[in-house]
Amino acid sequence: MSSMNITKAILMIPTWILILAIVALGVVQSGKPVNLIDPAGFLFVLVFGIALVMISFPGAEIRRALRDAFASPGNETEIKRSACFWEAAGRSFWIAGVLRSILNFVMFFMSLRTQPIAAPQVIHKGLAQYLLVTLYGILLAVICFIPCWKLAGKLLSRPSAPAAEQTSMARGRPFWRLGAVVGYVLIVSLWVWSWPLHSIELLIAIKPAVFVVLGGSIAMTLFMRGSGPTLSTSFAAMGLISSLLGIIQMLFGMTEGMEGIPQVAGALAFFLASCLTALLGMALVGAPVEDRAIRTGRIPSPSAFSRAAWYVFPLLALVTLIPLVFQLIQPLITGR
Amino acid sequence: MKDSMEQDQRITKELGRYRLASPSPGLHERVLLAAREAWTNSESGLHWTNRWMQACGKFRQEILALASAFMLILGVVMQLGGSQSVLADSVERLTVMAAVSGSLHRATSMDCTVTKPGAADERVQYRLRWNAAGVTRVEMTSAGGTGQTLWISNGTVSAVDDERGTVRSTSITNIPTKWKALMEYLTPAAIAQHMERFGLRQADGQGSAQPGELVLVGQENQQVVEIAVNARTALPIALKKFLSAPVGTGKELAGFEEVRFQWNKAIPQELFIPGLSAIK
Repeated sequence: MSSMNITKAILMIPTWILILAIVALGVVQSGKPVNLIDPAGFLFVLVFGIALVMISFPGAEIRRALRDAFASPGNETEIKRSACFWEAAGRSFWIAGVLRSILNFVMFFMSLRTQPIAAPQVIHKGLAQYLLVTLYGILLAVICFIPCWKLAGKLLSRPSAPAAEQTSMARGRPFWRLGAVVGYVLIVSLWVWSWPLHSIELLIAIKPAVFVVLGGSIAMTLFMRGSGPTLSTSFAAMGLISSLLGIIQMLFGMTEGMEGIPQVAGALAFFLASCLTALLGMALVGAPVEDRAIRTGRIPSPSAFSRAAWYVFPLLALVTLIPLVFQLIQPLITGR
Repeated sequence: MKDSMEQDQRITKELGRYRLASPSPGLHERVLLAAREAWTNSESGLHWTNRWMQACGKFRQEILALASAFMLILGVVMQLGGSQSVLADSVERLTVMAAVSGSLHRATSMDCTVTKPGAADERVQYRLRWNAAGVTRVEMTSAGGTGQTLWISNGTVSAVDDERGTVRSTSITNIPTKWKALMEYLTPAAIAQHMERFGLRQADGQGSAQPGELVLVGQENQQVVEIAVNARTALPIALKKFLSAPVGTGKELAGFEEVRFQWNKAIPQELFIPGLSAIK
């Protein structure tokens, strides 16, 4: 690195500190900063995201991507792989954030079986806090997307290399690497640690949605055989179909007044479980399979459908869930 | 048949890999036969689990298609079949509570009769009338026929001194103990707040419900709470509290407290003015 670059890097440090200070000041001035703190949620998103990255990428590629984010990257293939890694990391944090938010809603409902209904103010505050983890997920995702966009920009500014150069390092490696196993174990441990009492109960509770989403995804993948890795798209499509089924069932239940409440409740539970299953399927199976296909050179980059599944489906699920839940508990809140 | 054809194709393909010259038809048949025998012998030497895995591998797609169809049907049947999950049950509790609570907060007047056990097996009856102005008139009638009336408004309790004919007012914190049990029914908002602790859900059997009614059940401490609500307005019609009797005594539930409600009916305003007790 030249002395000019070193000086530039040194000058950038106070600039970054200043930017961070302004952001922190903005957060403090925006209201009660203590409301924006959820250590357990942040830890979940962070560990879940890291575990997903570990499932998709071996240690050597993670190290290289970290190096490429800060130092000058190597050849075109390495830049591509590093950009792919950072996109996958951003995607993992985004999905982890939304997943935790939906899980928070599910666990809130599950807790009502054993605990009395809290005061509406407490419920309201709790629901707001459930969405906080999505904010953490987005923040971490943006942090990861910065090197991805930077590397993509560098790639565009370089002349394209001949195709023969783009050999794959990962070809022939088994899917079940130690890192992947550790990633899955980490996710299961995190889940059990977060909700020791409700984990098994939850799995039993969501089984109809699990069957529909899983069965439908397998069927769709079989239909789309030969068109590359389509598991993420299948999970998102089935999640969308099941969620819509739940919403329709819920609306029909609402027309029946008090008598339709069990139907409404069952439909909301189905909607929640469908979103949860689809997100888990995408995060734990679909995305790693597609990442591996990219690393082995079977496909050059994720398909537009997969990207839509990773980024649009979680957003849709969250945007739909909030009004549905508030619609149900609104009489409780506005009554006071 | 299909298997042997596949075997033949694979054997021919394997032979083709060595770029051998085409043998005579007889020789080709003999080589094919020998290879097929060798193939069969090698398969029979495998462990049954390996043979099973091989067989499954051949029908992988068919198995997956069957499994997916089975899962889809099972999931849809479970969802539409009416069996409620733990999650749905919890959502139902909150939804029921929200609906009842919302209706109670929208009420404009309430007239309810509370029957509670008094001293020495006698039943004491209270009649509470509340209006939207926030005044509650409480009348107590004991078994002996003696009665007393209170007016409660803004934390103040007013009563008429029968001897002097004047109205005495005091803070609600100084209310006598026998009236304290009624605090949960003073206003619809108080009832709603109290009901939130019951964890209400629809009763499994709606046998005791009248047409247009829904029976909700919940629990408060050791008591079972049963509430009949209007299916259209979600307003309570009757509330019953039972004491859980010990199992095996024959009568599992003993009646403890009963409340009957009437909602949004016109109540003469004079009733809410302390001292005008002649009007009933």
